[in-house]
Amino acid sequence: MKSTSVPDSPLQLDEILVQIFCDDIVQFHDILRFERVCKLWYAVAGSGMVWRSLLSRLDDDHAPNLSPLVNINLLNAFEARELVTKAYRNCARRTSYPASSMSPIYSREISLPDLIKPDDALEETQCPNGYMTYQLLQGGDYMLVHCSVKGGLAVNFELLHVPTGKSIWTYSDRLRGNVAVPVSFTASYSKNDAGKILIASVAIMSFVKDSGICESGINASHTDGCFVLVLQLRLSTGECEVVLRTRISEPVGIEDEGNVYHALVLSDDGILVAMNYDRKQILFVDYQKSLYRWVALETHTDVQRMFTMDDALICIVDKWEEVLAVSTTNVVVIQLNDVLKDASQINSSKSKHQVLKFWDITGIHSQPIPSSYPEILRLLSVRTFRAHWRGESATHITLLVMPEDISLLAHPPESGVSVLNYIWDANHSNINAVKETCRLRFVSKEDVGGFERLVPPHNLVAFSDISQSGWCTAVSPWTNKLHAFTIDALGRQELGNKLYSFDDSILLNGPHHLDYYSDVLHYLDQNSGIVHLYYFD
Amino acid sequence: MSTTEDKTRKVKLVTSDNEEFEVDWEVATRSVLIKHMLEDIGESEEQAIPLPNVTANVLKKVLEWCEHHRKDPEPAPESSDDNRKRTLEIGDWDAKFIQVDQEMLFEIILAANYLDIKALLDVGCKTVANMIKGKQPEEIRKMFNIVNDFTPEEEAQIKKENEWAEDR
Repeated sequence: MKSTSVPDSPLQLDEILVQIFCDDIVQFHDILRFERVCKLWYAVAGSGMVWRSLLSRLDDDHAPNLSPLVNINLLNAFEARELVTKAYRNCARRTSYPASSMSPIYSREISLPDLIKPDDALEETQCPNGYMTYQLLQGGDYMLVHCSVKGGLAVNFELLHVPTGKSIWTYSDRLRGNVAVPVSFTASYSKNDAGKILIASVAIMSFVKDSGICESGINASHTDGCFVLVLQLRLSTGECEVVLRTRISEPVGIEDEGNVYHALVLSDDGILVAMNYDRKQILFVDYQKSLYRWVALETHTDVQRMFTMDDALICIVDKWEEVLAVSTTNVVVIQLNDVLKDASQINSSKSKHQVLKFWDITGIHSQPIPSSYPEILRLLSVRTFRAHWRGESATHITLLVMPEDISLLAHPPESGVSVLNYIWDANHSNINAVKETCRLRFVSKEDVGGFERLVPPHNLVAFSDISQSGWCTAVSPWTNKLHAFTIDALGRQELGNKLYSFDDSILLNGPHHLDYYSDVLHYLDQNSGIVHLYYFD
Repeated sequence: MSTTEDKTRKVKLVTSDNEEFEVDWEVATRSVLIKHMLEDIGESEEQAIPLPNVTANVLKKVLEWCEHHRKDPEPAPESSDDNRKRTLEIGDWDAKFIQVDQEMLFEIILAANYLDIKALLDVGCKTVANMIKGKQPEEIRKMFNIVNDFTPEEEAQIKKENEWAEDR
């Protein structure tokens, strides 16, 4: 062996070992294993720098009791280790599922058709299932169910307390129009009225004739073949406010329900964002400041998903580049305040149709996703990483990338699917480059027709979002059985390799969801109209 | 701050096995050690910089890295915060560059440490971190030929302390 005159191995030099042990990819459990290698590694793994490095990566979810006054640089190795160990002990308690199976502690079934009562004074008593939708509120205790009837838009909301099955609030209204478009709605706990639930809905109607939520204030000319958009806010106590009622220009293709798409998202500070039908326009409304603005999506721009985070709207946007004849998918961050700067006043006739082009929004930040197949990308989760005690707040946008895309990554994994994690730092109002490219390394053994075969993760379908305790679910197409697997919530960068099967065979044909805050798995069986909910500890 | 004159200047480096390398000033000064030595000796172009801790084959590899990164911005001064995040992602070129056998990898790390080339040291350390992450102690010992100097009692004691977290 050729030698330099310095020691043969850098692993005998504590300064280099410290740097290796402090690397972001090294996690708590790695350090515990490194301690057992030899006496030198034991000493290095016990150093303050290593434990302060691990501690610096803990977020509020796992270290909720850390005070903002804690200066981790002043902690010694023992103190830092105590804090990290405590966080991981708590996490271990929460996620110590048995290795072979995981069963819900209880389950519920809620039949949406049963929620329609004969005395609802509707002309039609049967709701087509496609018009029945629900939203589980954070924590899984409350569910908002909505049903609308074709041939005349009926708005029916029912708020249920899921554990008891009791209805705690209902709201019914009838919108008379020739075209019924499903109402888009969203519900969240009200920030301003503690304990109450805020429901926002957007309805698009045509040929508005009489009564209902847009009876008053609509100019007669608007009732003749024009489309009216109504944004409403309601509290579960019954108070209701019509935030915006406006005419929509160029109602293209609204007769075709396939073209209809209007999503609604609600930010913490009172800003509603509604995406218009046919994915043509986005409406921003600050209902507290009575401001609104239309943003036009340009011809080759398509918003796949959107959600608010902190004071920004985050969109996953497909953009067709005509010159290059390729489609790119971008993670776009829009500061809500930038859009609403100099926006129109609600209820003011002046500059009513102030339309801003999407890519012209001031301060827009866009980061392309390394994929040429946007349609097979899945958004796995959007999570905010907060460490209040360090004054840090970053949004993690996690995308699941299917194998075809993997070859485009810098370091393609040999098998499996990859996870791209975008980190958006709210303080700097920018998306940093893709910080991590990890992979799901697990492989499941499944008994299929008497044969045991390996199911690589890219053959799993219908991934759910990630819950707070770091697991998500996927369906195996061979057995149509649901699997749960963990993504290490503490490490962020570390993807677990544990794959579980539920004891119960849960058949899932469509999308299923995991409630981020409570590990409630839920999905709607489109055939029966029954919502299945599985509560896990 | 480098001047135009500096950029055209050549620097001579002599390795522990007496091989001489003549490289551009901009390439050589990726090494903070060499940069400081050049500042100490002043304008003298003839004077070779001795590098007694680096062999020729390792220096050749290190200079290949420096050449590729010659235009990179100067590294920021070391933060006083010892918990600074090491979020370095190894770039495509670096990933290919560092695909060497273990012996050479270690030599590069040691040379980067000695020559004070922080970015190269980071690449090397991250590569080792990737190699040992998720591995059991016995696997690590075998991989790096490390002797287990614990007594069975000491080993049992450490294992017992962290039993609750055992390889979840």
